[in-house]
Amino acid sequence: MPDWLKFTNRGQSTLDGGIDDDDITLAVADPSKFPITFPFRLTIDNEIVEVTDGGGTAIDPYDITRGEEGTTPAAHLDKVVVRLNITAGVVEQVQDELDTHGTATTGVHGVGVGTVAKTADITATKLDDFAAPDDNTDLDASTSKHGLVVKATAPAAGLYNYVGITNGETAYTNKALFDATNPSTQAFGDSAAPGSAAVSARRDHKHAMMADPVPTHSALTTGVHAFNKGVKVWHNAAQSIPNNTATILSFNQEDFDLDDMHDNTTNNSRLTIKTAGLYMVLASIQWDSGSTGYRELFILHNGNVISKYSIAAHDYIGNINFALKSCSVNDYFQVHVWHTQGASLNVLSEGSHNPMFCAVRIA
Amino acid sequence: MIRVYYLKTQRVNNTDIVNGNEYIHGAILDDEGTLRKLIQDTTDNEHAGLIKVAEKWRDATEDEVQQLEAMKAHFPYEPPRNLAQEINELKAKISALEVKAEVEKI
Repeated sequence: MPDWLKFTNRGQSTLDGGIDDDDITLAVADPSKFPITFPFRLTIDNEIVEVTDGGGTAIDPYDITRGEEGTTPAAHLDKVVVRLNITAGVVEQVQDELDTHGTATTGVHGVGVGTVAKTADITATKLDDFAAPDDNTDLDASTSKHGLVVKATAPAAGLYNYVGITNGETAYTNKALFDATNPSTQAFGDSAAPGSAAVSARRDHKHAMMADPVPTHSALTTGVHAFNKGVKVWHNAAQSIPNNTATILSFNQEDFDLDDMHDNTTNNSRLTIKTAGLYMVLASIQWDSGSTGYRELFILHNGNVISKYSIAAHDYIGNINFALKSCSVNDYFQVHVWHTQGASLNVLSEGSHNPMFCAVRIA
Repeated sequence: MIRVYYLKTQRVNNTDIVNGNEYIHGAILDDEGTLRKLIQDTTDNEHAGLIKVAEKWRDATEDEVQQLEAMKAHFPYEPPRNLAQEINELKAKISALEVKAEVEKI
């Protein structure tokens, strides 16, 4: 910033006392006509002097530099006119400052309020490196130290680019938001598979899918979806049970058999497991009239007792028993009964409800 | 002696009764195929009656012997006496003896 010359309007007075050609001070009749800050230039006769300090009075005269702008110091009489003119030197000072701005390549040049020159007009001015200004190093957009982000480039149609920085990188770069590969076609039974490109989102990955067709409950062999693996059987006549004899009950009728677990003729006492899992087994019978001894109802798994129900006898008593058992394929359940009536006693048949034997897979 | 008998079942008056039912007690009555499989410690009399109605019979294997013993452990209760049946059986024997005596007297 130059030491600009100061001005006032209508700056004019007269000398308060004559000066010789080598005096370096002067006083004026009315200092209030001139600036109170310095420097400013006064024209006296043919000489221009520059005032650098002082109050302009006889007691505190102006300090002056003689013969400015090529003029010749000379003696001036008391009362001659002193003017504050816009001289050629003032105009040259302004022109020099403008020229200096026009050619500047370093430093920060404030614009202030107004119209900013277009880039085409200031091609010689470049944005400096913010991390180390004034080191005459121009801004390098390929590094991140300037704090600016590069402009994202336009991607192919249908895709998106973004500017980002990933782990290990030092500068922002253009990145594809999606893998350019079209998403894979999903097929039933597909296993999960990762995408193939390291972008922010992968379009060509796969999710696992269940096989086609989606299995019905009856086709499922695991989980809790197999309630329809089951059988319910009964017997269409009374069965005479010898005294004190563990007698396996026969079942020659089926209410339902959803997994080919029972045969009405061969080994018809058995409910045979065809699908491994946890089974709930239920059996119920009703005895004929008789009140001597005990009545018992057992559930057997592969010939071994797994659940026993016993009760003192009375007429037409019913027995019911229940078991849960984890089974493998070809395991089998049976029911045997026992009594101590003293003579043969019938297990009655009451339609499809007695004697009843069922097994249902629950898991 | 513990033996195994394979017996058919007959339906009489809407009741399924295994053949030789009157000789069966303290036993295991299983099924095997379409037959009933009886494991019992039979007396000579019971054996004589059962083999008349059995499809086949044989001595019990060691496993079947153990199976019967295990059954008895499961059912520790003593079977109650059927006094009426015992009286009828005694009456029948007395009648038979009386008939025999009459015959010999004649």
